[in-house]
Amino acid sequence: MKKIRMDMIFSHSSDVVSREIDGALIIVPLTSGVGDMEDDLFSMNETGTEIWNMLDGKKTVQEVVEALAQQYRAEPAEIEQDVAGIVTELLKRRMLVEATVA
Amino acid sequence: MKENRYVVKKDLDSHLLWKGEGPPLAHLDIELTERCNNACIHCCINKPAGDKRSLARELETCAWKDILRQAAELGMMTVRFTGGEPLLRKDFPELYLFARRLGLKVMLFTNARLITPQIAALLADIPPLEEIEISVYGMRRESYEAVTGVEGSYAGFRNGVQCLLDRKIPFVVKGALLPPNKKETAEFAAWAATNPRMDAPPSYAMFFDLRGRRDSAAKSSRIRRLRVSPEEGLDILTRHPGSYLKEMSAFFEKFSSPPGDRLFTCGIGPSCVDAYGVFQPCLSLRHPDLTFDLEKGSLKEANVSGFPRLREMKATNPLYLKRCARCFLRGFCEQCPAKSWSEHGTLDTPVEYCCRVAHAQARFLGLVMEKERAWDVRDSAERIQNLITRVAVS
Amino acid sequence: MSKRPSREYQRPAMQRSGLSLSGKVLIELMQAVHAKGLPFRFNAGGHSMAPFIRDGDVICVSPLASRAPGPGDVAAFIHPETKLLCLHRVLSVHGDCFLIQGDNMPEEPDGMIPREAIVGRVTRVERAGRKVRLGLGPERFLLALLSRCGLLAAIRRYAGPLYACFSRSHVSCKKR
Repeated sequence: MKKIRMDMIFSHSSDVVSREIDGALIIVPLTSGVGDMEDDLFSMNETGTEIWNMLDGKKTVQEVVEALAQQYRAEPAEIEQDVAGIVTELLKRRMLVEATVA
Repeated sequence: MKENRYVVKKDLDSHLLWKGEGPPLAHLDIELTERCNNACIHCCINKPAGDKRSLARELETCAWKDILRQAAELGMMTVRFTGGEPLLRKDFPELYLFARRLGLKVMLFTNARLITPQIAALLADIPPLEEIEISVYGMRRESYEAVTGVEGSYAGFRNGVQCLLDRKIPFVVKGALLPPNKKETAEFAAWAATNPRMDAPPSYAMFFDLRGRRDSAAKSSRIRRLRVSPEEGLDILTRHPGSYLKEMSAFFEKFSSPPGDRLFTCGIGPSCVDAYGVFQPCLSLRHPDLTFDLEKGSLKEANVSGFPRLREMKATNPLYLKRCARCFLRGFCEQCPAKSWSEHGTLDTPVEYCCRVAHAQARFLGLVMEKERAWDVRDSAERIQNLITRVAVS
Repeated sequence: MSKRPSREYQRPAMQRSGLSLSGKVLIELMQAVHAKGLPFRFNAGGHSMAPFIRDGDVICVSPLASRAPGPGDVAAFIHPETKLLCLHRVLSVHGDCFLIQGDNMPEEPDGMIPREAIVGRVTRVERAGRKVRLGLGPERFLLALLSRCGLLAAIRRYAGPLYACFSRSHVSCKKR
């Protein structure tokens, strides 16, 4: 798995559909092979939802980390590690793709 | 994929998906068409596949897409495509993809005859996320086609199932117990058991509903004749008596009070949109006063305005008030406004067949004596407790 | 001057979820049966106690009148956050509180559960019509200790085939 660099940009994969229902972010696999089993749905906690919403194909990972650091009481290094961690998991499950820089 | 600090597999019994009460419309049944490529002898809805009048009235693709979009905005998670035979719609692949791209899970009810390698490829590439349910009418050509009335339908069904098996698409099967296939139950169960998704014996439809549109007295008469007798139905339901007793014991522990004059004692739903864009409280209830034409208003209006009114409706038929309103089997009996509508054209007429089926089971459970009527029983609480105690110590 | 961050940070997490029927009906049914002094049988769902209790196993939960759960026992309790019924193992008892955790959830302990949230004790597990013997016998004390030390998951990885040999009711489960 590729190492996540801070200058990378990611966007939501077209292999999933994300929906907000009753305050919960739900990620629904569209194609087969997404997720762990063919009938999985995924949901995100609050921080995960914020990260997901910021991975819009425009912001770098660095910008996502900085935006979170402005809001949350946590060490920037911890936030950086966690953003890289959750991006890695989303990439593994084909829910994110690396955006092509114009 | 293994668990790690960023991805947690949570036990679904201990962690809810929603933060609040959940979406206002979690599920919707959609009858894409009433037309069917089978002409099953017991069916409550089917029209011929080429029925011009139905074709002319059916919703167009864009109208269905609008309804699906509205439903997704209301937070719907799962749509069930049923019919008739939903795959008869030429736009089925387009509607299916549209629903999935809205982030919906799709349940498909089908006879499998129209599942081609192309449809199977679509279902493999974009999985429905719910098991397909296939109705099986017989285990050989003679019995199958005696039910469907269509030559070649058995081969079509087998081909369709094979397409799903070839692409490993999950599906389950269910039967309809009818004279041509009654002797095949063991064979059907054995074949169903080879399906990895079937972790229990297949279920059967046997207490068939009459024509939901009340459109053919002749067809409804035939359906009546095809229904199993209450005694035969009891034999099927109690083929595993231990588990049946436990299930009934748990049910009656919770649902054992006569309903009084309240008409809708079910949960009402899931809601349904019929093939012509009419919103119904459920798949079976087509009473014109209780439906909502989606051409005249939104799905949100239909969903929000309808149910409080239904919950307040009272029965007025004296016979219903004498029997069903006082009957402690009412929660267990299949009597409901939809059944009353299809049988009698009213919402509150006791359906004799439902009453006999419920009483046969109640006698087996020891809740009602021979020749006794449940609405005359005064010590139902003690009888239910005896049942629970008997089951607990067995 | 930039604004100081004010929100409590929670590590981002994604969870595999799905639609589930509310456990409220199940809890009410069980409590009604327990009020009669009777054990309650139902089908378990989920994987949090695998492999000792598997998805689809038939569980018998006895009321607490007979005996409160102790270390090693599998308790039925109402989860303090979700209010749904859970079946997880008691690791230790501290006065009126029970340290509880699912055997298959080493990273997600339930924490200290108060006595009033405990509604029963699992006394029987059945699979394919036969009683499951491993997980509720004397070995349950060792399971609780290993779970508490965080060793249960690691040992299971290596001892899985061994477990299959010794478990009398090992059957292949057809997942639906």
